Amino acid sequence: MLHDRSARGVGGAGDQAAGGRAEAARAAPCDLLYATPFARFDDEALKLAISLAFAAGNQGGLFADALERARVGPTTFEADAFANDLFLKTFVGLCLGVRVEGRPYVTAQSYVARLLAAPPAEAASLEFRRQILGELVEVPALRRELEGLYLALCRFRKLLESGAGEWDPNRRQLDLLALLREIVDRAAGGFAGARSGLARLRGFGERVQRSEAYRSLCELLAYDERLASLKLSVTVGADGKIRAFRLLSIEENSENAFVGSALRRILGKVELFLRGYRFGEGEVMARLILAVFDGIEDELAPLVGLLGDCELYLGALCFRDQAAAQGLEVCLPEFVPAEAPRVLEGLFNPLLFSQGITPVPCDIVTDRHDATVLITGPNSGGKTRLLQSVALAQLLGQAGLFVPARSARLSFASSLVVSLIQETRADQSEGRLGTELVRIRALFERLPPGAMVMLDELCSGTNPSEGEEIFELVVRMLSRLSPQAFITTHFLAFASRLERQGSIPDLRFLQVDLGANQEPTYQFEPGVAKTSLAGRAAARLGVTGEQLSSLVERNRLSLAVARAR
Amino acid sequence: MPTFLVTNRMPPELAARVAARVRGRGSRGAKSRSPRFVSLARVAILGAVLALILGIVRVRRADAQALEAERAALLDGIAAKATALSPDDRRVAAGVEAVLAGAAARYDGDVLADELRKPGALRALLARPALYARVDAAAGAAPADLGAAASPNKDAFVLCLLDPPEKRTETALLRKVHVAYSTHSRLEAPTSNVRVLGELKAGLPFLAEPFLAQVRGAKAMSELRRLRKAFEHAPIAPALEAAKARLFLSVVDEPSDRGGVAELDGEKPHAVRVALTDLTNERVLLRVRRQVDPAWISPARRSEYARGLDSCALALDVHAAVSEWSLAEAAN
Repeated sequence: MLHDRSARGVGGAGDQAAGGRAEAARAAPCDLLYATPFARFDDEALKLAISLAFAAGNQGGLFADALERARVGPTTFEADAFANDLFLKTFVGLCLGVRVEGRPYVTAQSYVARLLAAPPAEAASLEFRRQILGELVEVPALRRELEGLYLALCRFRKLLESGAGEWDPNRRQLDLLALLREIVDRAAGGFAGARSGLARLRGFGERVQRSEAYRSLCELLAYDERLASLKLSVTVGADGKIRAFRLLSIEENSENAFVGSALRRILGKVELFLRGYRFGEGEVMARLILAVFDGIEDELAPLVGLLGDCELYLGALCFRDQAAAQGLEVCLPEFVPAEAPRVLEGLFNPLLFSQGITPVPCDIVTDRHDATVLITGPNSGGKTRLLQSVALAQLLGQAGLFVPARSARLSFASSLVVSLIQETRADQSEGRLGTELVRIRALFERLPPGAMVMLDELCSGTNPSEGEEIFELVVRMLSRLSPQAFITTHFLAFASRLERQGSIPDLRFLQVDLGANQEPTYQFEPGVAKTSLAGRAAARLGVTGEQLSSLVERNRLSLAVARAR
Repeated sequence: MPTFLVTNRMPPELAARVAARVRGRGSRGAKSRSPRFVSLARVAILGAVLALILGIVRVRRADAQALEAERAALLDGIAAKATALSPDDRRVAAGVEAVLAGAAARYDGDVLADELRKPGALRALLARPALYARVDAAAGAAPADLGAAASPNKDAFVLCLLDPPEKRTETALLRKVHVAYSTHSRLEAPTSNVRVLGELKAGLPFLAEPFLAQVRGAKAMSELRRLRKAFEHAPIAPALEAAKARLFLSVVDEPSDRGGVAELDGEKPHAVRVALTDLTNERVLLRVRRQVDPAWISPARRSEYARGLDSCALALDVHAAVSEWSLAEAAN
């Protein structure tokens, strides 16, 4: 469905066939995010950075910087139209953090946020991700393998980015190669039974294992670990002191490709000395290590992307775990046509986790997706939180991840625009109404047909009658774009009129459900609210006449006492 | 370019990468680390050190060869000179100091061999090659001490013994003394068959084993050159001539037992022993003992020529004694 829409590859990946083939040729084979892999990194720059890090270390932030600059796939979403208002980075930090065996890990949050903000334009990539997530849930062993692979990648990153310091540089590089071997072996062996895109890891691992470079790496590590085996006999006396020490036998690992005769080893050292290197076994090993690295360094750059991919999936799994810990459920949504009903059962706002409270889930059902829904109700009734929840669900769903709902039936949106926050800037030239009008203008400038639109308190910055006029205009114009729109308002009379008249097509109404004490239940039901319960909110927040009067008297008394002193 | 870091068990791709890294080139052909200057400097230093060592070895070898050549040449020179020295010569030369010591130790009475009792026999005997030594008896008892103390030159006694003056006058004797005190050539001509013991001692050691051992043991060219110079300046020829002598003429001045004032040249009245020994069998052919006293010399000449005049007079006394004993023998 999404193939028809113009897709924009963020970072410059074009849609040209020839460029696509070239992209695929350079693409990482262990790409876990896109059905058709494409080159997400500047390969040469990344390989150079990795090469330098391997040689000398002190490349702190190499992975983070590379992920920061990584391209994301083609998408129809524009992040600046919704990321701030959805507190996307906060959501990523709060809900998509990675924990393995209870221990949290520092992740590339900005990269994950960019991935979220750029859901794939092609349906194949969406399905690709859903299958991976689904398999990770169905097969816990695969999740454990992915976690093991991720931990190995973390250790690799840490060691690669650290300096040698007082370490023996050769030891550090050998440890890096050993970690690389572990990563390849895990990829090849841990995902043997995977049927989803995780099978790419097996393919990657097995391909590398078959290469000469990998065999050379294993030989070098074997050479380092076991040059020779000595059998010793030690005799200890009654006082615990060694009486005799005898060498029984020496067995050299003569089959190893790196093992040479004693004469050859000496000549090698002399040769390096004459070539300007240091004299010693360490310098010989340094040359061998770098030679082995040269053969396998092309396999290292994809590990940067793989680390980011792992963080996305593990983060999603941890979100599921986090929700479950609070008695909430997440799911992979079902995608239906726009004219089909929207059903969100057990929908909750995960941003509420930051307040240390368990969100109250609700159910949202509309008869179709391509409708404008006006939401009314008292302040602090959950209207804005509902907009966030629905927008996050749409974003996560189209990103191929779990949505914060027990079950979800969604329709693809061509874009997402969220306008919840009205911040006052020091340089703004317009008043509240002007700012609101600018917001409306910006909305229509970027709004494609079929987009999801979230507007909080549209036209609230002017007198109700003029605001309602503009409000109606906006709603009528929106209907021409067949959006999935959710708009909150306190224009209760206006909303009621629109409901009665029914003159605007595809306009639906939801109101905050109030409980027995007129308290919001954080559930929503069809209709328009009769009151905003402003007085109750004022009483709750201490803005009644009586409360304000007591504050005034208190302040006057304080001033009098101060003057008396 | 091969490298010792590559083994034959390495796959070709790995071998190529190892070789590239040894050359200082990374996987993309760019120089990863190419300390060419250091390499060139080390090779140059190593080459210089090797060249220096080789140079030193060659120079030392050349020096050793030159030393051996010089040693061989010197030894050949010594050997060439030494061929003139027979075993008898060496034996006689070695025993002459002992004969002198015997003559200086005591006086066993006058002796005149039978073959000297014939007229002219002494003159004829004295015409043969002979060794001469004059020494003070107080010089010591050891033969080496006496040998070292012996007068290094021939004197008026030898001249007058071999070529006596016609008259026994002071003037005639003085003429002989003048010859004895004059240049070497004037004294040498009439006494050319007589060599001084000092000449034997000065030259013969250069043909002896100790000197040869020094030459063989010399470790430096400077040392060899010093030995060569000493050899070349040594009186070898006179020593060889002296070694051929089979007669030994010894004159031992006994200490003066009468006190008195010595003349300016040291002459005092004292006894003198004269002996003529056949070195082949150490048989004393002639032995006399006479007193010398410069009192008979005129005062004008005494202070300067007392010893010479006394020596010449002593020689005449020896001839006189031989004549007297011969006549007495003939009369009997």
